[in-house]
Amino acid sequence: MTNNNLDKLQQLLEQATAQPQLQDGLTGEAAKLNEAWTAFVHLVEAAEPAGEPEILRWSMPQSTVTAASRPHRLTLSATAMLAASLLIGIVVAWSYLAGQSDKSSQQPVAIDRQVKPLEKHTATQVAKSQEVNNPKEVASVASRNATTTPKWDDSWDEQVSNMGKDVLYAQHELYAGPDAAGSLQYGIEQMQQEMTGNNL
Amino acid sequence: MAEKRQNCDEELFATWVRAHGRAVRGFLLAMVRRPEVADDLSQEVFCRAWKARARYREEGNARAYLLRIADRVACDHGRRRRPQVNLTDEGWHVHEPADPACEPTGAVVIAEHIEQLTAALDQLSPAQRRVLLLRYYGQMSFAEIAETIECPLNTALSHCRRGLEAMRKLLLEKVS
Repeated sequence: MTNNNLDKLQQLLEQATAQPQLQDGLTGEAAKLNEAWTAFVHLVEAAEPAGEPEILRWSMPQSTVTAASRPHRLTLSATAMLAASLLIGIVVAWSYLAGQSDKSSQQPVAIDRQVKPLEKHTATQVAKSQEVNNPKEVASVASRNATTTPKWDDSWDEQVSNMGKDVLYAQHELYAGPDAAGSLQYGIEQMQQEMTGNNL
Repeated sequence: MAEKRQNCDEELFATWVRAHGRAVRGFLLAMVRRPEVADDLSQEVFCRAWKARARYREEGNARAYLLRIADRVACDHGRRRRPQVNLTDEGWHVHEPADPACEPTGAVVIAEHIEQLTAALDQLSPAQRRVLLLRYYGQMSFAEIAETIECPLNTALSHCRRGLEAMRKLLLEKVS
């Protein structure tokens, strides 16, 4: 189809299928095609319901994110992040403490393995028996023994005893005058005063 | 800012539904021939248009834009359509109880017209049908129709001419 024919056909069809108010003076093939077009339009219009179609009651999708729901989502996400970070912290702390306790529980086993070749002697006995022959080895064994043998943690006892000493010193300072030797001397002076005053 | 834009989108969309909802539904009804399917597909057309609203640029012919989507939706529906079993009248009334406000005679008349339209459209090939319906409902130029149905302009014109000739033949048969 040449361009000229194409243009003619396009013009013909545009006239035949134009809006009714734009159709004037159609003749020949254009008029025939327009009759067919008009019949088609009548059929289509008759098939449409007269009332308001369902589509006019269309509403927005409910899943659409609105501005009002945004703060709520932010609060939820912040709470979730806080909970997740707390959980991670607890897990890290737990694993760290578990590692510490594993180390302390594994150390005596390691010492036992080292001590086994020495056959039925404790590290201290070995140190005592070999002290003269090999002082370096004895020192190392003794130091290992000292570091690895579980000790009673008596720092609390030391604190209590120190506190008791402090209380005693404080009492002493309280009862002692500036020129007195102590509470004993103060008591002796009191007794002497009572005796000389015939208070007894 | 976002809320303002949202409101603008909603206003534009409400305008589209009011102005072009009937055309979209009519086009789909003529394509699929079943009112309930046409209603569903109309919803789908507007859902797709809403989702793609960020890509839409106002170029003057929103109806053509919506009809293009409707044409695509109708073609998709035709491709994925499975054999459908019609309900009996009793079963139909269970699922779709009659609307007391609806006049039975009006419904019967419309059903008759739909049958006539269906019979007329059956005389056309699918391509002729699409061209005539897009021309009527979309008020598109033939160049736009050719672009929508993805064919050269002269092919679209030929479909239109042959479709109108088939309609005229049907009209003459009816008169005689």
